[in-house]
Amino acid sequence: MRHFFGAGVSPSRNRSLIGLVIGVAVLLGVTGMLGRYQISVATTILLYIGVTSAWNLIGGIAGQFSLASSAFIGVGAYSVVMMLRGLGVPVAVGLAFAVVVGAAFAAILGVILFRLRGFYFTIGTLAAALAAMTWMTTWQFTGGTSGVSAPLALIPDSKTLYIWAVAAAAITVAVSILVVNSSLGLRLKSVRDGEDIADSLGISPFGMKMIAMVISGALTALGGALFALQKASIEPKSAFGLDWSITVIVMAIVGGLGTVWGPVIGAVVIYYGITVQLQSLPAVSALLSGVILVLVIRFLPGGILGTIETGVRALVARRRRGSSATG
Amino acid sequence: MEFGVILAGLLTGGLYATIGLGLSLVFGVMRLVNLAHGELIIVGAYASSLVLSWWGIDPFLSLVIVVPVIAALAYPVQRYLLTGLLRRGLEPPLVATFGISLILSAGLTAIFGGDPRKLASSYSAAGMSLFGQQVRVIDVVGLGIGVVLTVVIFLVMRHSRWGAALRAASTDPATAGTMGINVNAVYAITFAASAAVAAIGGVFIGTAYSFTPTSGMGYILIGFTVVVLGGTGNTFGTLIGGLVLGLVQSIGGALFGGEYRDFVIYAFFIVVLAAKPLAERGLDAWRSRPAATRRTEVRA
Repeated sequence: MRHFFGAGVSPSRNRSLIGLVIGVAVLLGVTGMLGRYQISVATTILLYIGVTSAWNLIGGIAGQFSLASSAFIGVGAYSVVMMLRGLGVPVAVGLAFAVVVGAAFAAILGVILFRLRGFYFTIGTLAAALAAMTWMTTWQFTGGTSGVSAPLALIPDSKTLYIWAVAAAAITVAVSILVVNSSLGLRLKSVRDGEDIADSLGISPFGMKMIAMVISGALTALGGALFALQKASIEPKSAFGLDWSITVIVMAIVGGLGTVWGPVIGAVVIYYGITVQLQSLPAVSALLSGVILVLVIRFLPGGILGTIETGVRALVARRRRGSSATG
Repeated sequence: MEFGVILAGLLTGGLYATIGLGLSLVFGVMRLVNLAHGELIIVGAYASSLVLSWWGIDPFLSLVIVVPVIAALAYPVQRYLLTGLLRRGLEPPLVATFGISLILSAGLTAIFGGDPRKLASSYSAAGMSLFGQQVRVIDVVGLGIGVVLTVVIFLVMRHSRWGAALRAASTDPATAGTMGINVNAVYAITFAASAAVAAIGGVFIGTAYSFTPTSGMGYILIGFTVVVLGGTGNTFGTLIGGLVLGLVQSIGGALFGGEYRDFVIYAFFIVVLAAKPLAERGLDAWRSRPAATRRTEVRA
């Protein structure tokens, strides 16, 4: 493990992990104070933080612009519901099964799709996402177009679900922190920034992308499974809908691609700032996220987090220059 | 295999070629993957439906209004947004077109609602006999549109000054610029032309099938499949790619049942992409390109 993540303790990793622990403690501490509606909004935000951070591993850090998040959400959702329905297993077992199926599905997709590079990969993931959705509408085992619902007796209550969501988001962010501040993260970024050069330096681009894809797929499926438990009943058009991929990408890019906290910020800003506020006008909120996405990519390439960092750095530099001039 | 199945496939193939032509144009000239192309198609269909409901103008006559308007709206998008982003690498223009696709489909939903629509016309249900098979007139028109657009684009590209400027800007933008070609304008006109082709496809789709604000994503995948099959920058290849895809879908639907028609396309696309290494894929445009401007998608 030490070899895998690289030797040495990075101070930024420790700072991030401490921040994460404090965040989790606060989130768990306020559980009792939240009302029904607040709990459900908070759960959704946390799940978006999880799946957005998971996409960021493959899309931001490894630079593979995947549109397949929706497929992993759907795979996770159906895995947990089918397990609860068919075998009546505890929720934890169902979630673990979803994670395993998500990882396996990611491995299969990766083997096929990583023969493609750049935007061919992107279009390939779009084909995979649409193929998965149309397949599910014809598969009678999972209820075809009408879908399936989880047995109500086995679905956790909203507070328990909230705690699961805190756990899922925390695990995903922790994985991000560990990956970003490790040699694995450096290798992934080297594949993103110059695949052929990375290859010539002895890094296997295929291997690196597969690692990112499998971790990302497993964590996205976990989020999908919890979304399914929140909704109780699922059908192909919603569970495998491309809206998932779109939302996740918008959140990651608006927040700050390839960083640990960017996707977290993006998920909160987009979901709480736009989706919740414009609840009665879903089309307008989608329109607004599209506009924001285009504006961010045009004027703020680093997203919210990148812009704040650049601003802070510029301020610090100016202050330094100012103090050295006077002193 | 029944002849009717093959004929139906070839007829749909004309539409698929039309979708591919627009994508191939922007991809071939400026390496831009336009993820909003499907939505541009659907915008064409909605624009035509507006013209129809306001002035009662027949969908195909409405092209005279719809095509210039959409081209004019597309021009500044390339000129002032996408061209600048192309210089920043692969991902920014991809994300921007992704955002545009989201804006267009959400905008259409906000204005028109999510219910499926169809452009009403006297001929959309009319039938005719072709090689002893009963087919819809509109589907024959669709194949005709694909063939005509292919020939027109080929002639413009090969035998006009504008086509020469476009090929020059595509092969080596910097040198083309020093030779007095306004590369930015060429890029913007190319994008506008691609949007115009999309609008024509959209009006056809509106008359022959139904459409919703979110239909675009399925069509864009069809378009990309056609482009990959036919080879970018190869106009007649795109037509053949469209016909092949139409055949594959029609035969697949006949073999596995109608509900697998879409699945056949997605699966076929992944197989085509994954089975052949890129360098072998007959992308003639890649080969004529100087190594320095070639992007990383081509494996050595």
